[in-house]
Amino acid sequence: MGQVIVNGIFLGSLFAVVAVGLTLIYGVMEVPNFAHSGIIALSAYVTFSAGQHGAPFVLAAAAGIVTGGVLSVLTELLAYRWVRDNPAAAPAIALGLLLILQNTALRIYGGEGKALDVPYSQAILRVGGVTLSGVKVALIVLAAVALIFLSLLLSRTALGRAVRAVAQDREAAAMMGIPMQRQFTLAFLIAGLLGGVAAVAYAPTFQVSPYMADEILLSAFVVVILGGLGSVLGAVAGGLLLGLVESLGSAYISASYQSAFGFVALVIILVLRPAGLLSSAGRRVA
Amino acid sequence: MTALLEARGLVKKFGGVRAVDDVSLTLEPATILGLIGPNGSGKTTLLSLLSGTVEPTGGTVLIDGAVPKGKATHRFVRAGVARTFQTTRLFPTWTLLEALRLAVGERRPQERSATEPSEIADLLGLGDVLHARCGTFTGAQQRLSMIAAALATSPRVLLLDEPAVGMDQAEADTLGRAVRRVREQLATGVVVVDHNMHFLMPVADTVMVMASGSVLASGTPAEIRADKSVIASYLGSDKA
Amino acid sequence: MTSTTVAPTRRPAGTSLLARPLVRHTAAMLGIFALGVVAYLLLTNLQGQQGQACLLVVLWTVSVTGLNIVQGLGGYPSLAQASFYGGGAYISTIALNKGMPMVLAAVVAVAAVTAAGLVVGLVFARTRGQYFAIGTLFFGAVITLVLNNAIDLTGGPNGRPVDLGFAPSTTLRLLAASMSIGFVLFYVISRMRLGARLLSIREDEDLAEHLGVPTARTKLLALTLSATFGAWAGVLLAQYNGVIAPSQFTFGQSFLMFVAIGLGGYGRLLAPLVGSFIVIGLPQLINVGPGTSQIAVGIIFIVVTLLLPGGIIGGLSLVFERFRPSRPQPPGASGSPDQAHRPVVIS
Repeated sequence: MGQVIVNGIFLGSLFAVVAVGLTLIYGVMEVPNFAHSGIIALSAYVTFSAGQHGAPFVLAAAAGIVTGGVLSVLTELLAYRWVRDNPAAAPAIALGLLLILQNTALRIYGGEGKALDVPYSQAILRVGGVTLSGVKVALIVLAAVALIFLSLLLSRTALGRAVRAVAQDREAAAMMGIPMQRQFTLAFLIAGLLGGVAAVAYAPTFQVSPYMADEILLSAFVVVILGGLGSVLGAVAGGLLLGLVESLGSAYISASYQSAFGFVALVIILVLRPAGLLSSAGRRVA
Repeated sequence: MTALLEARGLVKKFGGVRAVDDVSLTLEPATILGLIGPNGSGKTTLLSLLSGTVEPTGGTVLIDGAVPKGKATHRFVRAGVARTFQTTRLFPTWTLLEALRLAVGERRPQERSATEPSEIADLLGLGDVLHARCGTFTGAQQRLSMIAAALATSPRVLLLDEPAVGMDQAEADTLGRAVRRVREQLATGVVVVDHNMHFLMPVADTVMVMASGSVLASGTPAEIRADKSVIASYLGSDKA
Repeated sequence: MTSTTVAPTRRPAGTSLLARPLVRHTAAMLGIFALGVVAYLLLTNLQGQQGQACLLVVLWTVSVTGLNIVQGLGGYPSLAQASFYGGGAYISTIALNKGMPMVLAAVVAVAAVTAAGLVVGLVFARTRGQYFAIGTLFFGAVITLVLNNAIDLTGGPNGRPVDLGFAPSTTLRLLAASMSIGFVLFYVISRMRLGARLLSIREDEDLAEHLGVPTARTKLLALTLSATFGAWAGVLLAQYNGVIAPSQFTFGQSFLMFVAIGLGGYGRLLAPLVGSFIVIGLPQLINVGPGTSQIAVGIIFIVVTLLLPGGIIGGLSLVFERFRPSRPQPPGASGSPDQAHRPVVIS
């Protein structure tokens, strides 16, 4: 049982890091950023390549994280910016970007998965009856550090407060004179960097492949719906909850269907609250 | 005798705030009820409660003495309640006739031939633009066309949310005449929210003043004009 | 102004023969029939790569025509279409393998997938916009999981062979006929009340609701119909291909079906054909490796989304309108070119 819970926390940290990025972007721009999965894959590939060329791990990891940030900002500059006032077109843009990003990865690196070696691959942590690989410990630690850093940024700096204001109410924020464009770019930068962190931390437990983040992206969307839009705390809480649900389902029902348990959670939420957990219906009239 | 539209003890809370706090009202056919009050006094929320777009925290809305079945807005529409919004405009790429026909098609079978789209357009002075795309309308035409679309559902209760906002006096007068024609020819009961007293006072049979979610005063336009508490809290400070 | 209700909505009568509804409908039906004949001739005469491309385009056109109802007319991004397609393929194959006659296996498959579409609709039709996209996407991912893991039935990741149910010549005839019948059904639906309701939801769902449109029920019906079309295309795919595998029905494929509609033009009759040709036909014909062609599709799709809201067909019809001899404008309709909209005729 302890093992299952620890695995749940591992999964939950991963979901949270991805979901926080999605929720920020959804919050400021109403974009369901399917392209995030392609950004994560390319970040992992850059870390992998840098390692292959002899770069020390810390440098390779940093390169991967920066790649995530740069690519994410590029998607905003080149595509999303132009549908800012037309959220209905956003899913189409997101899918177009996903096609481009994933197939770029496929084109450069081929379809087979690649193993990403990290210095702490062999480390194993034992506490009581629970064992945890160094890779998973590293992910939990990295995720916690990144999220604490982010929440400090959002709550303590003027820039962060502006992002939160835009995420909560775009029109009100515009009336308060907050420059919109910069907040959009910033949200994409933060999301991309977090995607890079997820990529570097997650790839060693799995494989680097163009489609490595697809299932995580889906779970992360459930977390976004679970935790509420634009809420970092909600995304972290929702991430951990969903991580536990999937870990429990995978341990006691069937490991092959792990992400299906996330789907069950999504169905339950949307049957009970079609507009999502934390949004109130009839926004336009309130 | 049951009223056309009756609200009993309506309450709506958003978080801890009582946006609408214990409001009751009745509306008879072929009467126009004006609803005024400062911004944030709960007028629009009350309208949303009456139209079924928002679920009340407490209280009930009765149409012909019965609670409309189900939650979805279109059931209120079927029960005979239609409303317009402050900001919405009709589908820009559709002609007015197409939009009116859509609403006519959704009427209950027995009301399907009650009023023709062209009659409704004429009633609101939109006969000339029946075949024009809604996206080409002027601001005033947009508001009138929204009312036309609401009327096309064949409502017995029509809820208008700030229909005269942004109109000049001539346009507001045209609107006022149109609303009175609707009441006379279709016997519709109308609730109008608006800040423009020059438009609202001559149109309304009864005026209800709201403040902080509650009813401050209610009476004929003349009585309301003379009411000291209303003048103090609203009319005196906000002469739109 | 008392008897305008039966008059055609826009063009004053007499400007063009095509303005008369009966002539227009007949012309459309003849065109659809001609397309079916051309498809049949291509299917039976083309060989190799070209034959394969043509086959896939026709199959996808049938499936995507279903998607064109919910996504094209209704504006609701359903990302489950490849799952319905796969459901039809797998269920008919399994039923055939259990000894059912082919026709019965096809009926069972289409009925079961339609029922699945109904269930998905019951869960997600009440949700708005992007929740709907995420929900249907997740459904697709779960179906892929099932196809990969229920090895006894599906053969797992490597897929399974399909017994021959229809003679190959019958399959080709059915394919061409299905494409034409699909177009006819779409043509009729888009001119029925269901079509007008869906178009109103696409334009402004809140407003549609306030005009009395039962939006949730309309979306439910549209999604269920899209499942029916997808399932039938899947039955034909399995029969033609002789082998089916989960990789043919991943959510990546659902994305491409979504892209096909956007490229052709949301709600346009021929959008499935034009879109499928670009998305699945061209990559087969121009062999530049899988990655490159998908990147190109992605770029084209974004450019079309940004610049041509009416898709390629919408863009072409704009060009066509511009070069046509001037026609009298109805009063007040001077600006606003026709973007993605056809006149709505409610009978």
